[in-house]
Amino acid sequence: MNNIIYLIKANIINAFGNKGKGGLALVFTLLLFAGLMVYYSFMLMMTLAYDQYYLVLYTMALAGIMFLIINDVILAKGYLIGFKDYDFLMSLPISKKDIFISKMGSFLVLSLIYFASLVIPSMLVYGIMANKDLVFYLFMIIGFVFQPLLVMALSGILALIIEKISGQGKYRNLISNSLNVIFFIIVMFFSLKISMNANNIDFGATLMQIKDLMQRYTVPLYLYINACNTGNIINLIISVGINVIAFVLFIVLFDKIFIRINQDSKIGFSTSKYESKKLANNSILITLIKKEAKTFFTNFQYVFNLSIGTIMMIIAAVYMVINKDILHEYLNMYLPEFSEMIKYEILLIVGLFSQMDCISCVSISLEGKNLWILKTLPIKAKDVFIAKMATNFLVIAIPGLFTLLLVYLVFSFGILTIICSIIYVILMAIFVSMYGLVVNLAFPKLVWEKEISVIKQSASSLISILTLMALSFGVMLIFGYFGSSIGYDICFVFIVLGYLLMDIILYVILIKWGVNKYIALSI
Amino acid sequence: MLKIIDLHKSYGTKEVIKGLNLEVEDGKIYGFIGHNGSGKTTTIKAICGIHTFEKGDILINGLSIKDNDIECKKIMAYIPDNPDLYENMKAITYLNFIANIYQMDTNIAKRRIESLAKELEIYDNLSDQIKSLSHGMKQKVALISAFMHEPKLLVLDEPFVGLDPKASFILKNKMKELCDRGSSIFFSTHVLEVAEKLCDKVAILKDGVIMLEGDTDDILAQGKSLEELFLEM
Repeated sequence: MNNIIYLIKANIINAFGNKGKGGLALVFTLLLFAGLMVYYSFMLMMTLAYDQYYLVLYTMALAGIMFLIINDVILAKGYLIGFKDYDFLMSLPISKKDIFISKMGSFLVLSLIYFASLVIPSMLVYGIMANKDLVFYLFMIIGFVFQPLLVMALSGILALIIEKISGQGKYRNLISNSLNVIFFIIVMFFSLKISMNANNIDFGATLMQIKDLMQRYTVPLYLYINACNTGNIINLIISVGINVIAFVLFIVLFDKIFIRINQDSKIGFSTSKYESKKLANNSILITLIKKEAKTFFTNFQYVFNLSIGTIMMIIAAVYMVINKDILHEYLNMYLPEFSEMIKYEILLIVGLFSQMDCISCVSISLEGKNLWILKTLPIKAKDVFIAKMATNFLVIAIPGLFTLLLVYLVFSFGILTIICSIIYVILMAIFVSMYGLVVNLAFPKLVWEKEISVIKQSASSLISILTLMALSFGVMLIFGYFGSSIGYDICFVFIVLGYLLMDIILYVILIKWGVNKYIALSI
Repeated sequence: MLKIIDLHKSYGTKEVIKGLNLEVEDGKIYGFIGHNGSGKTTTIKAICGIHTFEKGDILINGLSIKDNDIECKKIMAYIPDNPDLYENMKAITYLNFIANIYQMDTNIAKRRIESLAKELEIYDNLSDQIKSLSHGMKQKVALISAFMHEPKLLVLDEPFVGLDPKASFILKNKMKELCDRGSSIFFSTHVLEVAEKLCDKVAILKDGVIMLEGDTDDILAQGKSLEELFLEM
């Protein structure tokens, strides 16, 4: 038992990083989630009558669980499959069972932490706003411990399936990444379907339908929320029971294959024989770009965490095209005076989503122990920068321009706005790429064990994402404020010019300061 | 080929290289010996442009690494003691990457890669992901990446660590061949017997200062082995 506790403790300390620095980033992220859930819960309740407040509880719990599912698939890959300390742990005098239980325990603790930040805040807001009694809070706490179990089981099985399908072959990473992205798209579509299913424009009625759909598709969660809201202990017991049974079945299954799956995950791709083929002949810059693209696309955590904005943007745009008529009806009925502004705001939202895809903000850090290769080869710092920015630029610009096309199908714009919006996406892609690189040069993290600590928990990643999001919101506020007085199309031109100016400033910073910073980097 | 002039390097307030001077002539092998923490790797990283330094200069074929780093690196190759390569690349992909960076003719590059791979007995592993290779095999991939473009200066940090006896033998021969063609080699090692047999010149470094330097034959003519001299220091 002691071994299990020690191991869980070590895993949790590891998750929070050395001297708590990584922990600060994680805590900040969780507080941000919690803050957003509180904000949205409160805002939604303000649009409803008092006796409809409980509907928000269901909706926010569903949103939280969706995020948790996606997050747990990533956690499952880090804690249950292919964890980095496998060799070390297996060499210690600790039983395989204890190792397995400790990894499960660590997975559970982290899932609970994420669940707490995603679902509990909304429940607390509801509890206060609806003056709920002690039973509500008691059931909330009792049920809270068990709710992530089913999610963990599903995420674990999904991670296992993805691992099995991708196998050990040459395209393992590509298959694995593609399956994870497909899974995310399915979850997103399911969420959107639940929220928009009956094409109902009445907001309260829409939330009611979400609740009814939850009753059909997410039974344990529905029963838990219902039990907290109504004090129905039977529903709480059933919810807990479903979660526990699912989790126990998962443990029984996984225990049998735990060792084998982790051994297999350590093996890289290996063929029986080399076949002599012509070598690729590329310039230095193309060679570097290809290397950067490979680094990005073969790393699921890199792809998923830092291109999630692109995926969400395309899904939302496709959904908008499919529900074009409902959208126009809604705008005309509820927001006729804002419909012109909203058209332009949607163009700016393309930028908002794209600015979540700042992959260059960790590109220097991810060189890590490999930095010596770039530094000892006859490669100019400028070429290294261009290669890293080019990958980011393509990841933003191509989907961004595709999304614009979809937006043009939904709303009509003048030719000036269309040209400006195309230039906007291109300039903004350049801006994000350069900005991320500047921030990473200012806050490099070259010593790390797990890539996720760089991608999600490094100062560079956090600063880039938060400041870019703040910039996006700021741009939208400015547009909203000035657009009505000077004209939305003129205001949009000024925003485009603003990004052009920022691009020039960042270019100068990179050339004058960035190059010297890169030269001084060492590990 | 390589000239280090009054090199000073500090990490924070701690000075680790204190006025280092040495010269490696064309076609010579220079052995750099020292205890752990003496500053060997720091010196090597300064030569290769990984570390900057506070004072002094390093000239490679007459060009300063500070002012002409790209030109210096074009004629140089470096292999660290623990080569961390791009794990997700196949060995041949990595070597192709290096060939492209040095703008080598791809036919020549292919011929040299395959020839070296056969000599080092990893020809059949060229299509394997670097992640799947053992430490010694990764070392061999790193050696191929260094030798294939026939650098004028080859800098190696503990090159014999992790190599099997046959590979060590092949490496020594390759080093001699390279020198016979006019290139120079600067390497650090703890294997003093190798230094005695292979190096034209050696230096013993202690706490960032060269305590002993000279032609290997002249040093050994004094009647003591390198090991004895090293232990005396």
